[in-house]
Amino acid sequence: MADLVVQEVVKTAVIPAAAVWVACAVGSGRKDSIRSLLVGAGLAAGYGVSHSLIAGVPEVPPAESLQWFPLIAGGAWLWSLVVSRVPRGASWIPWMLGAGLVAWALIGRLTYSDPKVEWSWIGGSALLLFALWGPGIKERPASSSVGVLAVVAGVAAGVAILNHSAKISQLGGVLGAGLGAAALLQWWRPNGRVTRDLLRVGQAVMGALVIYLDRYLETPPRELCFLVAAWAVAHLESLPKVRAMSPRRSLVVLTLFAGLLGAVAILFGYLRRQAEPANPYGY
Amino acid sequence: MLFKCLMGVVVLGASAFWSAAPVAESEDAGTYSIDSGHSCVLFKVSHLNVSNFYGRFNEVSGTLTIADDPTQSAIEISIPTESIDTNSKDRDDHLKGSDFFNVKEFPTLSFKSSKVEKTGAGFRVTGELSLHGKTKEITFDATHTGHGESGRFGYRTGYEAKFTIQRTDFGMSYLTQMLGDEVTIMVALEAVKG
Repeated sequence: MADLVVQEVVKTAVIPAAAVWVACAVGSGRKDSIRSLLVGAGLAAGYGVSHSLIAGVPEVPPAESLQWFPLIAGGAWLWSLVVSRVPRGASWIPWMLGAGLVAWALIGRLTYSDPKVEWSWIGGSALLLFALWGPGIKERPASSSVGVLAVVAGVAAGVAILNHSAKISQLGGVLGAGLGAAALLQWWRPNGRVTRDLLRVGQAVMGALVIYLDRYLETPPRELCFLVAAWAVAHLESLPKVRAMSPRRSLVVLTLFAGLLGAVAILFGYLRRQAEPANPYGY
Repeated sequence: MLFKCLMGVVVLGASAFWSAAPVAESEDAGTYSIDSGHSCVLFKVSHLNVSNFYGRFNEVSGTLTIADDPTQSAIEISIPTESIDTNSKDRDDHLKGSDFFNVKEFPTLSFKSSKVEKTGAGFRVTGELSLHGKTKEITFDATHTGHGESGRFGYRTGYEAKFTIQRTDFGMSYLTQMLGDEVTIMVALEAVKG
């Protein structure tokens, strides 16, 4: 049993964190834009390896919705390369398109009796993702979003386990570990330009996780709202008061605030599970 | 006298054999609808390499086509994965989720035969089992458990089968260290004619 726990910890935490750190070490001394690409690739690759070890190697085209996750991670990194060549004013267009693709990839696999309902969910989810992705899309010198997103991925893992999915919980943990490793580096040497591509990869996978929690695991709205609210904390980075803080301080403050909102989501889930009758079948 | 007795034994023996041979009888031939209320689909899987755990699906539907020539017989079964029941809501919710059946994405488990052969004691059925988005060919032996007119319940027939699959073949590869890869499926069907 101890061996099994060690194996799962390696798959869930060690691989993605090591991938980010190795990418950062490889990029050391290079231009920020190159380091950003390498760190983004590190997260995408680390996530892909861990995902394959946990949920199986993805097929192309994906045989099930979960197999989209590593493709979304890799796709977001490539998308980031493309978007960096798009004129600044128009860069929201490919990101809007990307949000639509993520929503379509996951929601499009479900069966809805009315196509209008299906397209409403796809459209609504794409708009939500686009709104949440904001801080990752824009160029920012600060780095607080990485910490916020790391905590939100950890919260998603907790919410998933409270909604009967150990696999999704583990995949949330993988993302949290990769982003957490980057957040530690940011705390040590804050430089938001280095985490730009990593943030884009992380936000794309996080978007897929939120859609999965909602549409597939039917997470109660209360828990989902607090999870999304925790993610939205990243937007506070643009407040003058937060911008006036040192990068380290803003990273800690926003991460803690996101953690507080996330803790409420987990608390609601825990209380709901406690209130469930032990044997609702009444045998 | 001795010859007559021997002939009697032979005739009795032959008639007993034919009454046990299901699809060779023309009265049995026809199309049947599976009676979900009197059919069972059970599964068995090893837990922690310690014990065998049993669960069931509460709903099953489909048709049996029984022909005088067994090779012309066919079976189609459909099971809503949502109907899984292991006597624990928590465990059922876990099984219905993405770790195992992923019922939101794959709401149906189905089987469609492609070949039916008569064997000594029963039949050998080959067909495609679709589960969790994957379709694999499987072969299993089935036995006829009985048939007959049941008054207002109609003319009924029954079959049983037991076979084993590897869940990883169907993309259900999570937690194989804790929950065995090999799953034994036991099916007992009662179907009504017409």
